[in-house]
Amino acid sequence: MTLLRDFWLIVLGFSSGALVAAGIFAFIAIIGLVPRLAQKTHTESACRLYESCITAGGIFGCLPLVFDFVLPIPQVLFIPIGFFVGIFIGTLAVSLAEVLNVVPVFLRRAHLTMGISVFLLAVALGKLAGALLSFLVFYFA
Amino acid sequence: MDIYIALRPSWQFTGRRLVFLKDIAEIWSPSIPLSSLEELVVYTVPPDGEDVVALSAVDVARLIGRSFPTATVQNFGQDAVLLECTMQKTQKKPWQYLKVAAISLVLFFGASTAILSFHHDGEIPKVMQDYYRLFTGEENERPYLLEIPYTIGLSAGILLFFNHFSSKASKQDPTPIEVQITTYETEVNSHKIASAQKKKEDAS
Repeated sequence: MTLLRDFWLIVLGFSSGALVAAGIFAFIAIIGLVPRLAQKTHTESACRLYESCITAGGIFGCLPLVFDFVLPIPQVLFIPIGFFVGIFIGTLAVSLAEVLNVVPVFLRRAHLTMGISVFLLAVALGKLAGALLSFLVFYFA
Repeated sequence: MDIYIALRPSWQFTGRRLVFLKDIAEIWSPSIPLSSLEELVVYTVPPDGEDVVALSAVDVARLIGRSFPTATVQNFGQDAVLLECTMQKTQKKPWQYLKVAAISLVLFFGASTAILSFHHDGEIPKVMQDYYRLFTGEENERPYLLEIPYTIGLSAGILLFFNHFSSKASKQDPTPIEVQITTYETEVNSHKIASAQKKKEDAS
């Protein structure tokens, strides 16, 4: 009886994982983040490598759920890793806004045809301010 | 005298001055020798080099009409073709590899962050505990029986979604991001054509 119960638990776990993966990675794929990064750097041909990296990163991020492991790396490496995560989240956040056409709609409503670059800079600075606030001011609250 | 052409969406070239009809379109004609059509010059790059121009189908028809005044031009392709001329050579390999490596790292750690943040946000460990309690009636802080299959399922889901590591997949079934890149390039191209045509109208 326990065996049957365990079997269903395994099926349940596996299905949850597969569907969560589909959801999150469909989101990353559809949001247009990878095409943008690839186009900006003229490395469209490395597309498959990029997908492999997303796959590997996704699996890596899932491991702490199961294993209580420690990866001792020199603290210096925190700097590039933090930087990479920052780039990813930054582009993700902006891609999300772009998909919803926030800036074009806003410009249309305001009858503006110029200043796009200023607004984008303002958005970037706002995000910087938000990040600094969350890490420096609210972190220990 | 019919000439059938299909304009391509865009044509990028480096270090050339002349653009021929064969560069920007597929051509066929039952009556005119193809070689004379193919070598027709449709655009000459100005001496200062870099340039982005849009040639509309009408522009192309006009240019063909100069050489073949009695011909009828039928276009089955795009409405306009974008010519992008750069004088510089393509980027150096090591630099290219460096960029690929940097983006790979961004995507690896980014995807990892996405999953970790989802697990926190969606409180997945608690969901797993709930499931365990629901199906067994017992409390379990770490229901490995759910978590390990979950991790395997997640990996399988990502691999399936991106459809990697199966050799026959590449041509028949492009991955979602490859499709996204094509869509993105099409949109960028149509934007460039629109802005190049606008510039041309403003100039004239």
